[in-house]
Amino acid sequence: MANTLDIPVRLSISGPMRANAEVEVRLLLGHSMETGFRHDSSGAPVPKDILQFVTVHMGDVLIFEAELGTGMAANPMFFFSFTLPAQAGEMVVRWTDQQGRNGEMRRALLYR
Amino acid sequence: MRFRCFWPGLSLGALLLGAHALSYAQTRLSGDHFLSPQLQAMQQDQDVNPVTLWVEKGQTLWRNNCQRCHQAPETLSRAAAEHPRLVTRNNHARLVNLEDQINSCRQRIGQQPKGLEDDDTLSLSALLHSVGKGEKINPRPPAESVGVQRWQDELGQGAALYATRLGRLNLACTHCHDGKVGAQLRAEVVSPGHPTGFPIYRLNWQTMGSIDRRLRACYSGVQATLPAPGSPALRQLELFLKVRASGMPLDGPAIRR
Repeated sequence: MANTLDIPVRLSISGPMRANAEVEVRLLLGHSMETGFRHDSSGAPVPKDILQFVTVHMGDVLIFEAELGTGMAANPMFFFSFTLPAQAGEMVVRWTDQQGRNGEMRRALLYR
Repeated sequence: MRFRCFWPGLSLGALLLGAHALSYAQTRLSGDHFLSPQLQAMQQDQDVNPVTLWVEKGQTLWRNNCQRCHQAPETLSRAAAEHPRLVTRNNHARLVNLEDQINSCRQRIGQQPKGLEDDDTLSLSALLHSVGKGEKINPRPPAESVGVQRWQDELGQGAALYATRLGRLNLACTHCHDGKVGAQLRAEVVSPGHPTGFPIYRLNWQTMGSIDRRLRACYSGVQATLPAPGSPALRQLELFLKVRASGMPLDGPAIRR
């Protein structure tokens, strides 16, 4: 599909993997986040290329949402705390860039 | 943290002696020691270290392109520590570093060579440096005797370049990286400049870069004319730096400011 954007994503969870536990979710997205304000060595402007929206769902529930701008550094990293639900499920990270291309990454969470 | 307490003592000593006397151990410190505690934590935590994105991409590229001839990347664990090498092809000898070698491998299997700072080149370089982590830096002259003299010449030219004043600031590498180790350069602390952590994820660049790019950044730092990427002077300098750091373990691809 022409509208998909594949980027490397690292999703990790720090804390006890059990129901109702408070954990820290760490999300690292590999993206150059080109601002569009820069020029290359020959003086030509480098076109803007940024991720615009990032969401994280746990099952169907939205647990994290971010709107990014040109002020964000390359390879953006997000940490947020989250209380794990009673039922283990799937965590889904979705992203959309400023051209409307999008992608997602799914990770099944297992409780110990 | 040991290090943080150590420099004030050193600078006091330097004041008293009126000279910057370093012990042998202090001249052999890797750039990792000069990172802030936050960056060291970021480097050690695989979950947040951006370098892992390149290493993982390198593993995928390796499986699809390199594995047929080279088997597992671990079989080339010495490669990162032994480059740059003197390679003779068509009676023409030249110094080749790991990124150059990756590009000539591409040509050999019928692919287009990509740039030194190409994302795929750096991913493969990062993979080979990560499997070479802990290997001792050991650049060696070529086996055949004809090459040895040439290798010595290249090394000599690298050493001369290291001590040559350059640019509007009129500084040679040695003035800072031997003479001012541990001193403050604006917000930075000057390191001995050992090439242990390449390719580096430099926060300033917000991406990975090879030693070629880092050395060009040094030229820019002293306001000298930048050599072209891949120029012989940069390879000679890299060879000299590797020989100078002989025996030091590779850190694997590292974060630098």
